Amino acid sequence: MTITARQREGFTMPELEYRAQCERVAIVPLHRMERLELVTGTVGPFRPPQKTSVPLWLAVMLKRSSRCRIVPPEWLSYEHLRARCREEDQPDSLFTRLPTHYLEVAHILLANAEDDLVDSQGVRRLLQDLRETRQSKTRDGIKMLNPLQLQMDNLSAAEINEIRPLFARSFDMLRRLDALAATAEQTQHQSQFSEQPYSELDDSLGSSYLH
Amino acid sequence: MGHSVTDARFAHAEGYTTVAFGRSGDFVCTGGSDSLVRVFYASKAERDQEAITLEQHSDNVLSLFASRTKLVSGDEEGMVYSFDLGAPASPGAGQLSAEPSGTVLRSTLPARDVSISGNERQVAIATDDEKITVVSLLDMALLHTLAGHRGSVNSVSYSPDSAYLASVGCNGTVRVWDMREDDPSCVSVTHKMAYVCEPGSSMEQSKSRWSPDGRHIAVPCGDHAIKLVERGSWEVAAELGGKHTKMITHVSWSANSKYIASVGLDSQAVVWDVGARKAIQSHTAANALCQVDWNPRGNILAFTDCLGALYIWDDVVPIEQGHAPPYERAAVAATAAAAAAAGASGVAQTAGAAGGGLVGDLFDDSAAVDGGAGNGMDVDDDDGDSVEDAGDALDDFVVDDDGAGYSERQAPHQWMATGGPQSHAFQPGSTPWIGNRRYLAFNMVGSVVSIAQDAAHNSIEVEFYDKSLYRDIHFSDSFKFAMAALSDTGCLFATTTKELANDHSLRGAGDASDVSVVSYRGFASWSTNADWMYKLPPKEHPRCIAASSHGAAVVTSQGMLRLLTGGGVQRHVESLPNRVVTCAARGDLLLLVLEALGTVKSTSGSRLIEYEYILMTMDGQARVASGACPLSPSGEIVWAGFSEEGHPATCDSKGMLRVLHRYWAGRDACWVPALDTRRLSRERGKREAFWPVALSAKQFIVVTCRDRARYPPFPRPILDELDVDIPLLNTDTHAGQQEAKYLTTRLFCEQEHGEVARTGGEHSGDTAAQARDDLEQDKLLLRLVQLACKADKAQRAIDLALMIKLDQSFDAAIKIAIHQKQTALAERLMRIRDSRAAASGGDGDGDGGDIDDHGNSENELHSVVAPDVRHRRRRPPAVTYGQKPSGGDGSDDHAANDTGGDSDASSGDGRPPLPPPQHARVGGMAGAAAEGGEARELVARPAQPPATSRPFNPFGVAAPNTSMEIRRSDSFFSAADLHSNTLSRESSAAASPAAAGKRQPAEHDAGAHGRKHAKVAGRDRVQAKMSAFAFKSNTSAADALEGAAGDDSA
Repeated sequence: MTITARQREGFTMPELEYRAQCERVAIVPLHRMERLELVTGTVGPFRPPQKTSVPLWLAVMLKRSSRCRIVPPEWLSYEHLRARCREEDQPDSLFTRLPTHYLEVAHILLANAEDDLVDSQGVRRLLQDLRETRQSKTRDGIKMLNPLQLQMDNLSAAEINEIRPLFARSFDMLRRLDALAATAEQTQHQSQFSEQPYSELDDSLGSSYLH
Repeated sequence: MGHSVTDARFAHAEGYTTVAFGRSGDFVCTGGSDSLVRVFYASKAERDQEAITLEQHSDNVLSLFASRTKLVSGDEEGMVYSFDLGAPASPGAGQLSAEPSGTVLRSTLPARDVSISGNERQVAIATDDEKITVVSLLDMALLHTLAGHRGSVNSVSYSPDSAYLASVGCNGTVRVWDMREDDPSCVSVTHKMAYVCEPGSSMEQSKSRWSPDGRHIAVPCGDHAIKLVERGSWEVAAELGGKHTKMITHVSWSANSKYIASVGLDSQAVVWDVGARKAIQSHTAANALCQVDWNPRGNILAFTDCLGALYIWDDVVPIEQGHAPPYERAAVAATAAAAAAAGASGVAQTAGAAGGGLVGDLFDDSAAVDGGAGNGMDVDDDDGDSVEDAGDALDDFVVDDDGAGYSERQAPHQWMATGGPQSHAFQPGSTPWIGNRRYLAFNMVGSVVSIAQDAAHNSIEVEFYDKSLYRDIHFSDSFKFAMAALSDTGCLFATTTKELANDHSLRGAGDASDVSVVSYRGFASWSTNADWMYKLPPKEHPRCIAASSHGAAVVTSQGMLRLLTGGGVQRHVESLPNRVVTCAARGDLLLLVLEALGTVKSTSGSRLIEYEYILMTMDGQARVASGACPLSPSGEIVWAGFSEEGHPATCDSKGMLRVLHRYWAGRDACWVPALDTRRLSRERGKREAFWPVALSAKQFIVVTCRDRARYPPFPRPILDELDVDIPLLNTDTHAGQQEAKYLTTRLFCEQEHGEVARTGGEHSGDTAAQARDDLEQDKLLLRLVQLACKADKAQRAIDLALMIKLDQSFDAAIKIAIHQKQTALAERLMRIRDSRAAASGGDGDGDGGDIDDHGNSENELHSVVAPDVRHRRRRPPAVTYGQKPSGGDGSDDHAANDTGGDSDASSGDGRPPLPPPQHARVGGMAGAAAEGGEARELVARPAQPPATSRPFNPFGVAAPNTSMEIRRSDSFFSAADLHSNTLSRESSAAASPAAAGKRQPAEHDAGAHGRKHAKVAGRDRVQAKMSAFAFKSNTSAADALEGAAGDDSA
């Protein structure tokens, strides 16, 4: 079996958020600080009121101790999201381009730095709209699943995660059925020319089912 | 004063009340907060009759406009209705009637003002959103939406010929729209002309009105005066002031445009003679007055107050004292005829009446021009010329007039030419009131916000960026400070008069007492009572103030510059021309920006402002620099300050940031355009305005104002950083961008050293910083050299190389050339390098002139093909540099002439020239000696290697291993690790003393060898030299020497 347990069950939302915390965001520090040497690299120096870019987890940590204001990323503005929403609502449109971790980052920022967002209620509403539109699109999209591939561009991490259990299982099943069908066809084809005993075919079928 | 004002007739409930006379003059309409519109008879006899009440509205009626046949009214919930007026042709001739004829507009926001065009086709409505709506009165179709105002629009007024529409916004902006086109465009914008008033309250807004003759717009403006804006030039032609003491809420023109009536919150109704520009009558009512209107056919005014009362003022203009009547005699004499002639359309009715041709004696010119008015609609949509002609003709008429009109209308231009009104000073980083808040200061330390609380006090909030260093300060401000300057050690506050603060809504300040106050709050926590406060003498008010860690500066209206320390010691007072526009301070420097003398009018009629700057120390002891302050065409300075490093900088209204370069060098100081924010926003393709905050480390810190806003909003927004980008040519290419980057780096790098030079501080660690900066600049140059090499532009590469400062960077440039297979270039660069070495190493000796220019001459060839010879200074002076055999100073000049940037790099950057090493001086003497003196030279040669780190090339003709070495160099060097060169050079320098013992015999041999083969083709030599160079860089010098010795001996 090629699917790990993790893939079967998908990630939980906190796990996804944990992964998203390495995304960088801009902050306006409120305290002067020197450069910080982190394992993943250096951040800072912090010179208020100049913006600097830090990993999200650090931004949240600083924000909680009110040592910074978080500058919301450009896509997390009401105008930008509304434009994306409109694009998303276009009939026959594909998924619009949004950051891979947009849901996670938005969730973290809305939870921790709501006061730094402009029109956070509007943003929340638009995110909800976006999410629902995209969910329904994803549901439509997954119907296109075939044994070879499933293409949905610009799907974000959380959205992939949602369809992962279903997709992984169905794709695997489809693939196996396809392989079986191919085998069956082949044997049929062969049996037209050379008499192949049924027992062998049974064996092959049975073994693949068992597998 | 024989005027008579009727008793108050309480037409409406308490609240804002509007009033408008019907055009026939026999009825007056009012609207009020009881959501009713009433129509009263105007004539004396019928005045007490019952009014017609129109109950269409369901909210406060805020605006009314009566044309000949229509009445339009707008209310607070945004409904605008029209009524058909069935007015009697003459007083008492019939019953007055007003029938609702439809809904003009349903807006969601209060309709503050309405205006019907002269041809009665359109109605313009100003609502609290930023747009003006123009609706057709014929079918109530939406015609236009005029967008442009920022903030709500107070007032709209059509010109009588319907060609233009004037509108005034809450932020004081007056706009004029050309309504003749299908898509009306804004033809004139004047900011800050009218009152800056609070949106949302009609009572605190004022209305502007177009004169019936179409030539002027009367705009009530901030200093409680009425400005007359001239049609065409859209400039202020005259100003009527000195009467009102509070906001003027409404103005009205008499029918012949000779008089203006104005009412204000000070309960005064004032009648102005426009020609004489003075008030001729006034009446003080009991309450604040809302609106006023002239009876078009009589010497009668109607005005309303805030309690809903209507007053009628008969016999306003004292005609018996020789004043012309406010109405047109023609119109009155021929009421019926004129009304009939004017018909259902036409230009302004007055003109139409004049066109009726009854009074030729007075109006012949205008009658001739406007004669067609009777036909109606002649001044139509696209008939702009005829309108202008009409205006001109009217002008003529006025000039010929007997003085009742505008004979002095040229006067304003004259005073403009002689210096104009005193310019408004401003504080960098301050804004006007936005709602009840206003930024007094906004910089990299923090912001100071004043919040209007009530009539007696404001409150001040000082908010810092760095919360670890400062604690935010809030206090209640009973002085009503109008300006503040924030530094990292303290904050200076000052009160001033309204005029100087350029803040017309400044409430109360300067009213209560005429004494201004300057107050300082220190942030240092260790000393108690760090605060101080001084009162200025009466009539001396601060124009602008500045504060820095070195103290505070106050520029006052009496032309005083008062410098104080942070502790409040008055350190220095000096008199300045009273033209200071703004000032800023940082550290011990104070930047003053002054309006230049002889501010002139441009040919297009707009006023050009020119500026000067003075840069002085905060103790007033020294002028650092001064001169003209450049400006974009027709711009004005909106911000001045310092960069974090200390560069004085300005930003003008055209978005150009300029930095004062080399300010420490006095006369050499120059303004460098550092960033064109307009271009930036164009490139970004967004409608953004950048409000300057500060300049810091190559970045321009701004607040990005979107949606046509001009000032930073509340709460304090996040700052944006724009990279400084000197507007160079060709910046769409990579090379151009690199050039811009280089210039920017140079602009800010040189500052540090200049600052040290200026303050005379010790050069502790300066050399290291200098080297670092030089290296940074050289890196950029090398990148440019590489680009030039790649593009096969050898001359460009040479020019760039000549700008290189450090020797090792120059070597790197040569390597780049070799790597890029630019042999000829490398050859030349090597020659330049050698002459550089000679110039810097042998400054003051005779051979400063041996730098070869880029020309092609035999001499050069000679100097190249015999490097060993050159090294021993044995070149015949007559051939290579015979012009100046000796004389240190002269040679320096010569070098500068020859190579430009090259010698700039070595001698022009302020570094002390290296002491001429021993061998060089000896070599100079030898150079002057005759050729062939080899033995003497060898004796004169020092045994030690030269003090300069430039290693010589000991084996000029070591040809045999050439090819191998070039391969090695090819594989070894890449552009990225050019600076590894530094390392190898160090190692070679370290190794050289060890090799010194061996060097001399090898050299001797090489020299002999070189002479022997002096006539061999140059090409080989060059290759040999290159190989030697490459070799040297790769291996240690000792190895190289050994190799060379081996070759030679072999």
